[in-house]
Amino acid sequence: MGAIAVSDSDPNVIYVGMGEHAVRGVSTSYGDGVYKSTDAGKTWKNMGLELTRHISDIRIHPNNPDIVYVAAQGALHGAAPERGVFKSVDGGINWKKILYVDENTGCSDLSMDMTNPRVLYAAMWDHRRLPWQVISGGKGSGLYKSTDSGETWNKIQEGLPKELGKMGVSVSRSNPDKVYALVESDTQKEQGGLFVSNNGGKNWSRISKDHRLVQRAWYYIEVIADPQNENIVYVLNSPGLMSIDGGKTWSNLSGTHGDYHDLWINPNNNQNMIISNDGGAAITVNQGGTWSTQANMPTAQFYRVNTDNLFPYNIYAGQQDNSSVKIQSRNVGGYAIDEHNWQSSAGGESAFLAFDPENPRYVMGGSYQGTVEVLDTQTGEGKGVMIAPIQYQALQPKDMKYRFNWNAPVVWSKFENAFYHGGNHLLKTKDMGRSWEEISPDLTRNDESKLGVSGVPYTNEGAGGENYGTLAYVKIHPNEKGVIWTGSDDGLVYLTRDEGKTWTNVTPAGLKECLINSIEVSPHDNATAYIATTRYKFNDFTPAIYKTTDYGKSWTNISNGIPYGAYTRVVREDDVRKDLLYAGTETGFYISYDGGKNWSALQLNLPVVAITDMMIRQGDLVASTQGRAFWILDDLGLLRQYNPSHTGLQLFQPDDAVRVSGRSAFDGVLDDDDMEQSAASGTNAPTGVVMYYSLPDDVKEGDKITLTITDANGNEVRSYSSEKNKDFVSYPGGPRADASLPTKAGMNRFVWDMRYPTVLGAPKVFIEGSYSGHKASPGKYQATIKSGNQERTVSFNILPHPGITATDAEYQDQHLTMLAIEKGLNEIHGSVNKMASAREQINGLIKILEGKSSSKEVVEAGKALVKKMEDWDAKLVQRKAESNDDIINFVNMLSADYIFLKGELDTNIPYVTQGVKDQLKALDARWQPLKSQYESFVEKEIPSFNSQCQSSNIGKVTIP
Amino acid sequence: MKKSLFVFLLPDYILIQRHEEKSQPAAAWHPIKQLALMTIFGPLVWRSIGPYRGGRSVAAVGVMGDSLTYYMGNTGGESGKRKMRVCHGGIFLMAISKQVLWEQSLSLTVIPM
Repeated sequence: MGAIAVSDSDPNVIYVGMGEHAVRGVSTSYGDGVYKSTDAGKTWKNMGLELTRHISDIRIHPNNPDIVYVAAQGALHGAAPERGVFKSVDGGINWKKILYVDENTGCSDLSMDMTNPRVLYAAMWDHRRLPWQVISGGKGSGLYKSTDSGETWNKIQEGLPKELGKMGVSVSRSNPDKVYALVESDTQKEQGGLFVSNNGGKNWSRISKDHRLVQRAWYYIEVIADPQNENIVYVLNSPGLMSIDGGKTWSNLSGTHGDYHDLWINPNNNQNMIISNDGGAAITVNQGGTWSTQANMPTAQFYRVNTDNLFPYNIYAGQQDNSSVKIQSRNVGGYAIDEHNWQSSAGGESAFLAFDPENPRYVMGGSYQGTVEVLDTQTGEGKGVMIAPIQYQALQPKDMKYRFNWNAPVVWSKFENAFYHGGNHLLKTKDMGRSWEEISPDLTRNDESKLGVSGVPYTNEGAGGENYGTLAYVKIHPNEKGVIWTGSDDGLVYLTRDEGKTWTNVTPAGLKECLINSIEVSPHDNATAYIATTRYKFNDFTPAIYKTTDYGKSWTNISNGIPYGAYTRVVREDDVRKDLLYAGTETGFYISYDGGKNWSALQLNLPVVAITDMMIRQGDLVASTQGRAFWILDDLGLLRQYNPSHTGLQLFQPDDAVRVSGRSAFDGVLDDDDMEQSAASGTNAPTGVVMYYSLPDDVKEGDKITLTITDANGNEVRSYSSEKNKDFVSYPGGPRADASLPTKAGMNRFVWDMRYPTVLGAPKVFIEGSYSGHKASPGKYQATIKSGNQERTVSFNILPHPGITATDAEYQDQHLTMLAIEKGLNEIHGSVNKMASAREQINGLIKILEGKSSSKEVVEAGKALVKKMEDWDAKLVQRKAESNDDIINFVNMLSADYIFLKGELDTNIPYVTQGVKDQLKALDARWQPLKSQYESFVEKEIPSFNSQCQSSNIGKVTIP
Repeated sequence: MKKSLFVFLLPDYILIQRHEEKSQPAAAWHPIKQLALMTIFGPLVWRSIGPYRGGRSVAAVGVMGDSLTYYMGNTGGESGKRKMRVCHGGIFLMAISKQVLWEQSLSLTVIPM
């Protein structure tokens, strides 16, 4: 998204312009025009201008939300007429292009005189990004003014340099004659800087040539005049800069992140601002003294993903303009994935990260311009290990010893415990980077005409994003020693089958110059490989995945079903089901069941966001995205089992589940509300066995479905139903009801929490502690679903946490002890509840009979029995407790002691302590006489009372 | 824990073909097949992992007369369950709680687009 504008006169009206305006060669997405909301963002409608691609600004008339101007920067990688300034007077239904220079020149900034909205200033920018060069400035760049609401425009360049690059313009709201223009010009002659006009743009004079204002112009150039003080002005660059003397001197804005791109200042209170940068957006109410946090936004852009094979496995990738990241795929001890579950890793922002997935102590990670580091995660110490430690910045690629891609591949091979670093040659180290060898010739086109100055005509861009003729991907064959595939950013594919002794150019015949963004080797066939290619940097958004089944001798384009615009970045083949492919594209996720002949979108709840890379690990698909951090699709098993010819009732084989602690928003039954994400944390993996079952299309609401879990001996562990338990009573401090099975026609999802049945409560006694049944021991289990006269059964395993060492006997001991505790609890609460019912009946009778002389003996006997029962009850449950902290006021009784003991033993480490054993004996010893008392109530005292009633001719229904 | 919610539009299976340039080849597009898969695997969910450390924003704005509401434009898209919209770039609503002081009081809502 490049621009947002909220109407001053009607804040329900919001226009947004899609496609970023700070246009990078990597990690910038194109847009699809203007969206509008008339309900403060609840709903949105596309208002056209789809092909403008990148929108830098939107200005709304201060009194009329239907009059709106759009500054369209236009397509980044090619000539296109859809750029310039557009105007609508009917709220975006119709658009008129009111300022246009040529097909290379878009509008980089548009400023409106808010005291007289007929007056507009527009900065036009002649620009283009080629894969090997950024062009910022040229004959089309110019500064324009309109005084008739955009109908006519005049150039206003008196006092500006002749050579113009990217510009920003801002008219003061407190003095509309004062206009600031930030100008990129010839940097060799130092002609750029901040210019000011005190006569509405007629004449300009330079107020500052501070390089901080105009450096790396294509990425920045933003000037914003304070709305209340004409001498306060902000310039956004790598630092955020503020001047309080009309632009003469500058101080840094600090406290957020670097690389600033937008600033909004409250027109009524200039202490209040919101600023955008490469780390998100932040708000201030004290003019930048302090800013709100940016550590609550899941909006990271990650480039390349890798995972280790630990439990839980970790995800690694470089984050744009930040460190690389290592984050746990799940939090086995908590509810969510938060800042405690991640840390930075090796290399820098653009890192590929490589390691032995079984033992990832040493992580090798790169960054741009070929830097590469080995991080010892045990000590936290890193070591730079470039083959030739050269500072390449600002050099022309043709003068570099090695050329490295912005995301230069760094990969690890299990065969020799070797690391590889892809430059224009492939480099290899077997000693953790102490020494490297070149194991290939130049594997790119090495076209010198594309290896010149990376930024023209006025500002060089030597950060490495334009290094061309570099390896973009290196794939070590996972099964065949010595087989390595490489792909270059200029469209060549090479293969060695002898560990680099000989290389063959296996580029698909006729493949145009393109970015070989990733390579996949089939896990099922050594000769089969896939490449995901894209020509987006040539302004061609065609998806293009190719497949070979003969080591690259021949290729087939397999992109059918992926639409234009969803250009392809990555393809992976499922490691279990052959020909099941996953594709990550610029606009979403696609799958194929037939080896790529046909693709279908399977976006599900994944945001529409560029998928930069994907990897399969432990039955999950891990995706890195460009703007929404990492996502995991947990249950590939379901996709693997899908067979369209199977109909009727189906129960899918669930993945084995690991017995861990923690919980997840994705436990139990999911509905749309559960899809909500918490403000500052990732969603944990479900902590249970995730079952999918499919019900026939003719299933009706009210049809009963049951799901029963049994252990290896066929004993029932747990049973669920689609019907709610009508007798269940909910009260504070009581047990939770079991979830009901969903019964939608088609696919349903249900997570068994691996637990035995929940124990009984004693309404309304508040007990602090869990009523949940214990977790089933590791082992083999079966699940059977029944619907009508059909049933399906699957078997699966519960696995111990691999880090827990315990014997089967210990698990069995825990299981039996927990069963005994649960049995005790159910007996107590069962008998307590029965006696509560009996007391209620006797009390009801007493109420009716009390005062009748003929019933005196019965009433007295009843009262005595009730008293005895109450005394008995009071030893078992604490009825005074109604709230959580009551339990530190009123002493717990026997059942609460059992629940406490259950909690002590309800751990994933199974051994039963002597303390637990002793205490269980003690509790059982307390329960036994009370149990005998209960039996006496049931067998003797209540029957005796009933006999007494009968002999007094008191019937079941007694009329008062 | 304060919960800030991603807001979802209900699934409506809107398929928007995005690019209609005359010069570009018509996309091979199988809406029926796509709908079928989305329906078949309906309860399957992607899990947002984070980390909750912001990435690039190039557009942000406040609201005149409402110092508690802000919008942030992002590079990543919206999250709409089973929605098939092809617009890039998300927008987040940044709401500030009146009761809580500054540093950690922001709650974010993804606005579906």
